[in-house]
Amino acid sequence: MKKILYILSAAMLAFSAAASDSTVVSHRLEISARGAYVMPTNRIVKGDNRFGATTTAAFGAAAEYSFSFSPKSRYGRYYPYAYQGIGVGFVGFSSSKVTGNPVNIYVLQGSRIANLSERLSLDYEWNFGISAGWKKNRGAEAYDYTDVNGFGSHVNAYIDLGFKLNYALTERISLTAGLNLSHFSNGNTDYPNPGVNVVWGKVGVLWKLGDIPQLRRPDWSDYERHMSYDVTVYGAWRKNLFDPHYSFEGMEPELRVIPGHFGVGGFNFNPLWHFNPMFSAGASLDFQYDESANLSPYYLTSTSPDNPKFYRQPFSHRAMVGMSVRAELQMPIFSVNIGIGHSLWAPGGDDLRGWYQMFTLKTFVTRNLYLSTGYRLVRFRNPGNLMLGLGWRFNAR
Amino acid sequence: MKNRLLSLTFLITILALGLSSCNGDIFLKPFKISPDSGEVGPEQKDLFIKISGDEWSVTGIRYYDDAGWTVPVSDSGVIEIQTAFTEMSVYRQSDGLEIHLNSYVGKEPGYLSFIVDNGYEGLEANVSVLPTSEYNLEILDVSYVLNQWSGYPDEDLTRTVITYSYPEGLLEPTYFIFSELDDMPQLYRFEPWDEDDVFAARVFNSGLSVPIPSYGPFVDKKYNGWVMAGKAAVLTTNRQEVLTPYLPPMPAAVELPAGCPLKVSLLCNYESVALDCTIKAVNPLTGTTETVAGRLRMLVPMEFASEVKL
Repeated sequence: MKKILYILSAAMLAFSAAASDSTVVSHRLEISARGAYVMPTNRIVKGDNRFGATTTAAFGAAAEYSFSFSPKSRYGRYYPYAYQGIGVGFVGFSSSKVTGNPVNIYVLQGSRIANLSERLSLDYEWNFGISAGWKKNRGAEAYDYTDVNGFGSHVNAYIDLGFKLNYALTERISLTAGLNLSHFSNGNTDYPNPGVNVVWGKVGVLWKLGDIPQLRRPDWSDYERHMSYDVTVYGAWRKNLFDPHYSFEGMEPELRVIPGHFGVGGFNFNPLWHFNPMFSAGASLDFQYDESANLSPYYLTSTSPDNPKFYRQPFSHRAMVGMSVRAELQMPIFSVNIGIGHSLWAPGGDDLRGWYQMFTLKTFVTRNLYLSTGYRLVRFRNPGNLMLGLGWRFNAR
Repeated sequence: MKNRLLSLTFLITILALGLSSCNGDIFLKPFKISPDSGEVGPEQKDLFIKISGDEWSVTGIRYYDDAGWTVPVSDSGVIEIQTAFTEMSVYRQSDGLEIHLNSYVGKEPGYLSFIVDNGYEGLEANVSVLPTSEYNLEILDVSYVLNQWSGYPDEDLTRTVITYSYPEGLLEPTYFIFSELDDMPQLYRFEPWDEDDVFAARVFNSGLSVPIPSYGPFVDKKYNGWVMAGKAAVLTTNRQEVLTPYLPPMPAAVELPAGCPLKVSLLCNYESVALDCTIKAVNPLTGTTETVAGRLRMLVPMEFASEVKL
C-alpha cells in the first residue's frame, strides 16, 4: 500500500511540476487489448503449488492517457515525440488459481524510434507501476513451493517495456500493434517472490486530442554538454533467507525464510556527463545498509529454524561500499538509470559482496529534486531489494 | 548549498534511525565474554571479566584448590568462595564479573571456572588462582585410637575382583582354586571434627604424608586388629586410594561342573570403618603447636568369596 501511494504521488507531483515548465498541447487516449504467454521462468507458474495449477497464458486490456509538450517549450524541442501519462489495465491469468487476476495502475512514457513511412512509425513505451489483486500465500511455508497457494504480496511492482507499430488511419486516429515484456515482482518485500514474466501481443486504438504538433526533428542547438552530480538517498523493507545449517560442517545448505521484515537503506553519489539531452553516463559511489545481510553465521542453533534468533551482526557485516558505472536515458520528467557495480568494501560476506545491478526510475518533481524508485539485483540473478528514495541533482540544467 | 547538505544529512539520519529499529525481536545483542581466561595471584588480586549480551546469568561455577572441588553459591549478586586455603569473592556487575582474591595459601594453583548463559548458549571462562603466600605446615605427630572404631554397614560394598569365563564349558568337572593376591586397593579420606576450623581443614588437606593403620594380618578368617604396619598416605579430605598387603584368606576351592558355559568370580567384601585420630602440627602463621582432631574413614577388604554363574 505504501508503494502505491509513493508511486502515485510521485507521478502527480511530477506532472503538476511539468505543467509549470511548459504548455501541454497534445493529449492522447489509447485503449488496447492484449494476449500473453506466461514465461515458465518460475516454479510456481510451472505447477509447483498446492493446486498443481500451471499458468501459461493471460489476457488483458488497458486504457492510457498521455500528453506531450508544446514545440515551443524546452521539453518539446528536445523530445518532440515524447509522451507521458498514466494507465490502468486488467490482467486475467489462465490458470488464475495461484496468481489471481490483478489490476495494474502505472505511469508511462514513450517516444518514436523511427518513421517507417508517412503513416507508419516504430515507437517504444515503458510502464512502471503497481499491480494489485494478486493472490497472497496463506499459511504455507514460503520456501516450500509445493504447498504455496499464492504469492508473497497482494500488490506487486509492474514493469513493462514494449515496442509497437503505429499506423495513422487519420490525423487523429491510429492503430497500434506491438510486443511487450512485463515483469511482476514485489521487490523481495515478501516471500514467495519468484517474479512473473509475461510476453504480450497487443493491439490498440489511439486518439489524439487537442493540438497536433507537426513532424519535426529534435532541436538540441542550445544544449550544452555538462556534468551533473546526483545524490540519492533511499530506503525500503525486505524479506530474506538464512541457512540454519551454516555452522554445521558437512551439512547441505537449506534456505529458510526469516520471520519479519528488514530495513534496507543507502545512498549514491553519481556524477553524470550529459552527452545530449537524452543520454548521460558516469560512475557512482554506492553505499548500502542491509539489516538482514550475512545473517546465517549469527544464527543461534539452539533456536528453532521456524522461529530463529540471531546475534546482531557487526555494522561492517551489514554495510557495503561499491562503485558502479551508470547510463541514464533522460526524457521529460523521467529518467531511467541503469548501473552495474562491484563492491569495494564488503567485509561481511557474500550477501553484499561482488557484482550488483541497479535499475532506477527518477521522477523529477523540480529540475533538481527527484523521486527515486529502483530495484537492486545481486550477481545478475539473485533478488535484492527495492530502493525508494529522494534525490537532488546538483548542477542541473 | 549548505542547507541542501544539511537536509540530506537529516534524511540519512532519519533513514538510519528507522532502519535500525526494524525486526528487532529476532535479534539478540552479541554474547561475548572477554577475557575467557585469566589469572589472579599475589601480583594481581583483581580481574574483571567483561560480559556483553542480553539477560545473562552465571549458571555454573566451580572452584578447585588443595581442598578439592567446591561449588560456591551465589547470594545477592556476590559469590563467596571460601575453602581451607582460599578466600575469594566474585561480584556480579551489569557488564561483567569482578573477581577479587583475598588470599590463597595452597601449594598448587587453584582453578576457578564458570559458565555464563544467556538462555540460548553458554560461554565458559577459566581463571587460574596462584598462591598469594607460602604456607608450610609441619606435622609433629599423628595418633589413632586403634582399639575402638566405628563401622558404617550401609556403606558396605562388594567388588568383583576377577572373573574367569568358560564360554564353551569344561570337558570334565574340576576344582577351581583362586590364586593368592599381593595386595588390594583400600579407599580412605580424613575428616576434621570441626569443619569451621580453618587450621584443621588446612592440616587435613595439607597433602603431607602421614602413617596410617592397617587392618590385619588375617589368620584363619579371625580378626587380628589394627596395627601400625608402616603404611603411609597423604592428608586429604578427598577420597584417595592406597594398596594394603593385609588381605583376608582366599575362598576355598570351588567345584565347577562340565558341559555348560560358566563364569567363576572372586568377590571382595569391603566394609566402611572410621578411626578417631589427632594430629599435632605447627601453625606457620603463629609458630605455635596445635592439635586438631578428626577421623580417618576407610573402605577396607574384609572377606573374599567365590561365585559361579552357569
